[in-house]
Amino acid sequence: MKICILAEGSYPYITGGVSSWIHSLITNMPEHEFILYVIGAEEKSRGKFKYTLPHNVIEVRETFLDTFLNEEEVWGKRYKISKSERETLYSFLAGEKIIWGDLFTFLLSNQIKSVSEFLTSKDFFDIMYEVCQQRYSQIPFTEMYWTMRSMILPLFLTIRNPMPEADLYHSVATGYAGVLGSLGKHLYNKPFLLTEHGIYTREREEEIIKADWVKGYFKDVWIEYFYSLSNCAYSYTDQVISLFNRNKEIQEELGCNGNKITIIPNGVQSSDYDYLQQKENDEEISIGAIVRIVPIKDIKTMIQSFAIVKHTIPNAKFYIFGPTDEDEEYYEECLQLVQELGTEDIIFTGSINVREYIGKMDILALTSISEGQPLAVLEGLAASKPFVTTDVGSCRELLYGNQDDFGPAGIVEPVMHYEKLGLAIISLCQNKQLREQMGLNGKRRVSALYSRDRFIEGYRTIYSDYERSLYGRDRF
Amino acid sequence: MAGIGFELRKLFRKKSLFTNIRAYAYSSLVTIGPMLLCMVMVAVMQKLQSYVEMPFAQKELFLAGSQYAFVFSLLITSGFVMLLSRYVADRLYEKKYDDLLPSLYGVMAICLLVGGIVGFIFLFRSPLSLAFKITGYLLFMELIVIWLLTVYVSALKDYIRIVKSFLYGAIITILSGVIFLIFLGIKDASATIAAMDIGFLTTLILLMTHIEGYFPQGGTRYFHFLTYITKLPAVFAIGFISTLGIYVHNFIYWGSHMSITVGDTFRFSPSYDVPVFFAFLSVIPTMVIFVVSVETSFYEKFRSYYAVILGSGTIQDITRAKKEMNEVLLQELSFIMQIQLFFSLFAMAVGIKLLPKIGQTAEQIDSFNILVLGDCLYILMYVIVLLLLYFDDRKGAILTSSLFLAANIITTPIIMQTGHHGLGLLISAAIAVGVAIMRLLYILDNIDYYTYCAQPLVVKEKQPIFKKIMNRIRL
Repeated sequence: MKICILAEGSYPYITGGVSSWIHSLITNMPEHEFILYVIGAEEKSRGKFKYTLPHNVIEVRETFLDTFLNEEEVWGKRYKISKSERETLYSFLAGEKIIWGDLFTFLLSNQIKSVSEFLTSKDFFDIMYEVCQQRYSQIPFTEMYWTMRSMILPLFLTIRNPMPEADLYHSVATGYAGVLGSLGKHLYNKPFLLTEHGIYTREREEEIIKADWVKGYFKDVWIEYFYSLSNCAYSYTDQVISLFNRNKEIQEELGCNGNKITIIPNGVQSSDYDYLQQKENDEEISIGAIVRIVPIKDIKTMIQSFAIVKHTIPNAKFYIFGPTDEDEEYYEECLQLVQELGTEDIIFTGSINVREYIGKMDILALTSISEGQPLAVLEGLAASKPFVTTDVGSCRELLYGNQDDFGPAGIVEPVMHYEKLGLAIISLCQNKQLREQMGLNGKRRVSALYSRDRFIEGYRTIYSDYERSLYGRDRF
Repeated sequence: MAGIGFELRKLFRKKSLFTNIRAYAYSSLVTIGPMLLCMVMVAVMQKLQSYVEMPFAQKELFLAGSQYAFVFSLLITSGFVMLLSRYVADRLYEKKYDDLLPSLYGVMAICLLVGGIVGFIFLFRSPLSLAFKITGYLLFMELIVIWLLTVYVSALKDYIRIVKSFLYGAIITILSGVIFLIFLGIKDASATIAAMDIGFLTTLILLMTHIEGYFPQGGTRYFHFLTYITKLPAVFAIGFISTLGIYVHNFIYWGSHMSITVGDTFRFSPSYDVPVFFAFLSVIPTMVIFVVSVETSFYEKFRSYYAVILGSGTIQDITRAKKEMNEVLLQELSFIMQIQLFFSLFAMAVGIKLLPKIGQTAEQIDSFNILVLGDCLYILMYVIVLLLLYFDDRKGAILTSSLFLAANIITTPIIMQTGHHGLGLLISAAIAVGVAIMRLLYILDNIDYYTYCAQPLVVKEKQPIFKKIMNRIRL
């Protein structure tokens, strides 16, 4: 079966949880062929893959949201837009309930030569004007105009990209990738599967609320826009796979039909972490974090909590394993913070092979603001290491269990609360026995509930169900 | 034309009858001053010629030579003048003053080369005296330079300087004329033209010294302005086409059986040209009022419309600013129309009384009346073309001015057969002004769309572009 994987801002350009999830899914499904349809932010990352693509990837399509810089525009065009097309566009711009199929049909129709030509047409301007008049009459129009154009352009360009034909569309996020999955289903009438790791809309929402490039009154506009993208995916998808129960609930809150949602947790090959190199002496307490250095991981809180730890546990060392090149500005800020706090023994290792280092740690930490079901935690637990995490995604479930008997595998504290996080780490530093007990608990839980075999089998079953219905249909 | 608005607004703020009169006087002076001075200069020279009893053929030759020099120097420079107004305004806005002098030298080189070749070929086959050929050729070349220079002085908004330069030029011309004709007793057309050469050379030097003293020396981008021809070909075309449109019906008459040939060189159609000349004087009121009314009331609203867009105006603010701007514009336009109509009728009455006294026939007076009406419509069209350019609607501007030109070329020869001389111009102007009004109303209706969508899709430098539009009209 030919499966089209739709990813946005992750595989194969960026390492991390979602990327390695996709990589292991494809690697472990040699019986299927995969088309990768990936959306990146900037054209300059074209072809720069961080992964060696598995052999069963038969095609890679790359599209970038900044491609519009190359668009030539001829303004002044008029179209023959029907009343219903006009209504579709209106409700899209106004953020009302949209009939996406109509929007797809309109955007792919022959009368539209290019997206920029349409966006600079009189018809589009009139609709936008009307929307602003009726819904945003108190907002500066010029800014609204540029905001809308820059919001819509990448989406429309994405939609107009040629869509590869496949037997199944599998998107690993809502957002643009989710819209593309819906488009695949719309065009070829093939099933559309959605796996959501984090909650896309919530992540965008947090990003936008903090972003200083969006002015106050436009934050709502942007957030609403991402909500409507997600709704497109939720309404088109045949099946949604959630990693854990809390996410399922959120998806339902966001408007996804609960009957579509099943849960397949992430998984790691627990035995891979059985015989790791352990540290040689007990002179220092090693605390590690397996994270990319990006704002959503809240490295700054991590640094601040370690500063507290260092006061009480002078022989503690803090290792941050992970690439620093994704957001260099943020990395610089982190280095600056370390300097300001004057805390010693914080080591940024850059990209490393996790398995070579993880065994040498006494404690692992994660201070993210938002997470799905972090692979880093699964890996750490598989390596029998206790964790201190913030209360995001499924961390609570992973460390404390969801009504199972394995016992706690670490300590969960509120987001951004570096004092509590620091104290939790201190309590683990001071109690070797507790560390070992928690490490053992984690190892058992992961082996039992979060194995890679379980994860792969889950998807294998789903894929083969679709394959059967595909050939079943063919037979009739 | 647009730049004196600034000073005018200052005058108008004082708000008294006296300052109002001053504003109109000032406006008249700067808009039509140079033109009137040239006419006075020619008239005085003609008086001098009569005083010394110069032979009729020589007098005719003087008139023909200077007319040709005026008309064709305007034609050759017209496209460049329009284009350079933009170029100079943009350079001034970008503070790239280094480019200004080189561009002046560059454009002078091109126009003098083209004019030089055209003039040479034209005079080469003529049997006129060498003295006449040389003086006439010089006049032609000087005028080319002067029209180019006025662009740069206008950019400095130094209109009084232009008027003064022309005034001194006229005085020197008349003095030289007195010397050549009366004291030296040369009763020859070339002497009269030589006097004008000296006068215009004075004007030229005065303008040139001013410009060279003002802008920095040393730039080398002599032909950089030519990039504007590829960037804004329509602007060049509008300049050339609208100038050609004014003269083309004369050219057609010159080529017809109604023409005479002066000195085996210059073709003319006096029975048509004279009414055309006098009729054109009737549009002076519009030229003056346009500057005062549009530059003061309309420009304020125009500016605040763009200021609202540039700032953080809501959709309601924009709608309100647009409405005010449109209302004021249409109000001013209808004001101009009424005044012009009044003056056209007045000109017809005066014409009927006075023209017979200078020997015009009944047929010529008929032509004059038709031409006055035609010019009345033509000047309205021209005003609208300028307004369209305010909104950067090059398409509309080129459409209307080309339409006027084309209609003239088609109707003039046909109408000539019927004997209703001037009706061709009237019909052409009527068609063109109709289209122009429709286009202007359309633009005003869709002004938001044009303002927004003519901008690039990506926010690269949105503000400078808007500001550039605003700046551009302060040429």
